[in-house]
Amino acid sequence: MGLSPPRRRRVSRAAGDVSAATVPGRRSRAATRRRLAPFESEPSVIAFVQTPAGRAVLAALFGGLLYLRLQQWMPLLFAAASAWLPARYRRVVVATTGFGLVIADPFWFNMQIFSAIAAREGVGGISGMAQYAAGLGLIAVCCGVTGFAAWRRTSLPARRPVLCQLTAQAALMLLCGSGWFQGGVLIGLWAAVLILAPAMWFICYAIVDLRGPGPAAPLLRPFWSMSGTPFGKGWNYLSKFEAKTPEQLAVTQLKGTRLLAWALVLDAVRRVLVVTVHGQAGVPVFATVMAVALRGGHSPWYICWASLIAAFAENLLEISVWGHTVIAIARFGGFRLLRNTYRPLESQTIAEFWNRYYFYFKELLVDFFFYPAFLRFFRKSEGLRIAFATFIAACVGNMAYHFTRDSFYISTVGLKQAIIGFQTYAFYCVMLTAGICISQWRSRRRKPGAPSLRRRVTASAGVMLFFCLLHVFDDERRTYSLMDHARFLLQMFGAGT
Amino acid sequence: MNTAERAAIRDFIGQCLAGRGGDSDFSDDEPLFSSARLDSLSAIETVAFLERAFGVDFLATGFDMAKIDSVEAMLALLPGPPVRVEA
Repeated sequence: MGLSPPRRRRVSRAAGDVSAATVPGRRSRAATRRRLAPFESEPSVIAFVQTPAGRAVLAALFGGLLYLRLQQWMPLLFAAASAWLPARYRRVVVATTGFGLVIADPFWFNMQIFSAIAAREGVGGISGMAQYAAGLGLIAVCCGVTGFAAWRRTSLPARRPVLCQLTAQAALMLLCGSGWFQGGVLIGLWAAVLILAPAMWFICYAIVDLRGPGPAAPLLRPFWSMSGTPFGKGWNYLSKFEAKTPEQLAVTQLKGTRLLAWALVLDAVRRVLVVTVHGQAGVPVFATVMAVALRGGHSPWYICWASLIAAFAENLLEISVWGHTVIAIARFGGFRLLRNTYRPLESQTIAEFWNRYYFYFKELLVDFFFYPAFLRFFRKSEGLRIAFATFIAACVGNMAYHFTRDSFYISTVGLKQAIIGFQTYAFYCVMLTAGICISQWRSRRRKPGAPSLRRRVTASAGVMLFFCLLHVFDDERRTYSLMDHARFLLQMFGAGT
Repeated sequence: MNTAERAAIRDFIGQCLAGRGGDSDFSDDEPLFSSARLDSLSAIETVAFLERAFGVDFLATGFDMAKIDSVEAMLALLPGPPVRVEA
């Protein structure tokens, strides 16, 4: 399951030379193919990057590219370079750098919200040390929960990690928003919420890994991780993609370097698009158009459409650049992970787009919501079984992920408004589920064989239009109601006021 | 040994690969899902096929993508003689 990285077969140089020599018309094509062949498939390049000099050149190249993308390029480069250690030490480095970065670079902990809550409760001047304490707390929770699950393998937290953690999160959020607690107790509860939420899915994968043959060790935010979505899941999944030989490592690192270069190209495209559309063409950004419309102002329908299409394109480029960067670092670290975003514009169905757009988030929902539901419910009716499991993953799981991730809204708008304000994203999830279900139903009835070019283009355009329109409701904030978004959609079609 | 089951599974996987417009050649030990030759929808169909045709109970054994990643892996799941073979 997942997406195939570009499937290119190495064409033998000798064979290529023979065909080029015997069929003159093919000379230029063969030469072009050789020129376009990725450099990680060149034996001489692979051999060179296994030498000390080659490694130095590759590290300099990768470091240079990373410098252009990220401020904290230096520690990431050093962590990724641990791939050159003997394989038995690599996992130790990945685990310890993960734990180390949780403390040293606590971007995951929402310090601003935590300080605001503390100040509201009369505890001012929360020092930066709180971040380090949060990091230590996170490591303790991660090791504690995983250790308990390893010790009591038949216990509920070991058998149903997602259910247990979502219940714990919900209980904590209710307590925080109940108004029953104040002062130090409330600050402590909020600290627990803000620490647990970003680690939840890493802990779930660590507990699920206990059922597999691999080592029972927690993997908390490996150094390439930049969000609460585990890119590379847990150790069991990672081990399938780990480079086992120096040659595999060289190829993996070359692929990582190429992917990072591609991310920079896409980032440049994104910048040009932003300057062209919003600067030269004067199309306002989507958030502004929507804000104007919802304040009672009016934007022409074509401006609404232009800003929506631009926002959708920018979003695709942003997630591609971000995901490629994460995967490139993981690959340089010796793990040949599949790309997070892979040619989304080629999607023929809604389900395929969802698979290609944000692979590791989709995998999380499939692993923790789809398959458990699919294996348990409606086993007699295949269509209903798939539809229900899709609903549990794309709707229930999607909402659970985002509500727990953005639990800080409870502190800013209150529990009731945080739930009510979630209506727009809930609607987005329902529409997404409906789209995926219809798409799966149609896929199962599709005739075998490759579709024609016209059909492929039409199908892709339909998929893009669906996600473009759905983008209107892809709003995780609690600012505008569902009706506000619906009114804006009507305005796009020239209806409504 | 396992000739009929192997043939049935190979036939089903071949249809899945062909249905996605890809190369339908594959070997029995070739990774199908972790190599991304087949997608998640095919995985669902494969689970349903193994349950229906061979009575494999993933709820009892626990589901892991590795268990259906190749024809050999799928054959290792089979509890006994096939119940009913249909694609």
